[in-house]
Amino acid sequence: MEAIVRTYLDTVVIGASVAGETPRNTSQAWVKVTQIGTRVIGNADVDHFHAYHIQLDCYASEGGPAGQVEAFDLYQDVRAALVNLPGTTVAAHISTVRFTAALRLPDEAFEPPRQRYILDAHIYAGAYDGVPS
Amino acid sequence: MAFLPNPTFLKQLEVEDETVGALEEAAEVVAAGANELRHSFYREPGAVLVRNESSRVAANVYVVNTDPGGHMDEWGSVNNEAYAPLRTAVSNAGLEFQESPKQS
Repeated sequence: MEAIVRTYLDTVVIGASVAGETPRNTSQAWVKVTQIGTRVIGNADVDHFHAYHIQLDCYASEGGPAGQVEAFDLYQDVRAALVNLPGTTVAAHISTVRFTAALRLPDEAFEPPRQRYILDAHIYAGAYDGVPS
Repeated sequence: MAFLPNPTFLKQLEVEDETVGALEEAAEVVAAGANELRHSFYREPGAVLVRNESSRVAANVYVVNTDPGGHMDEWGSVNNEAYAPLRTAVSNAGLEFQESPKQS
């Protein structure tokens, strides 16, 4: 699911790279996609329908107030894109996207702290061809 | 005689000792799971604890990570992955995480 979300966001979110890890060049805005976990919905004996727990870190290219605006705009773009994910042709049957947390948590590992909004999403998807990732 | 439902029934039920006890029981499971999953970033790590701040008017049972690096453990940083011990423990306990559960 990480790969599906990355590929999808890469095509619809403009002005930021989308990656599964921190890019080498952190002077541009980026979105980091991390799969926190997954669980089977319904009959646990049938591996068909899953809820994927995905964390999306929307990083600005800088800290401070300007970075906050940039990170927030990126977060809004990502959120809007994911709202439209069900019904979009991707390599999975996405039925619902539900958000369970959205917060601003600057990354203190940067100096100065880099502005970041985090979006927590649960993506409900049916089985599909290919290897889940 | 007309039946008049008690409008505060759910509120009363919520603060019953049995209800708060059930919440505490679930919170203990989450806290134990989170303590298994969490990482420490500092020399004096905290712990994941259950705090019961319920009163006669509200049932408030919290699972709290007192580790000073708990936010980095939960949400990640440029240097470490988001290990998400609290959110994962909620899910592992068979519960569903909601950011702001609606207050009745």
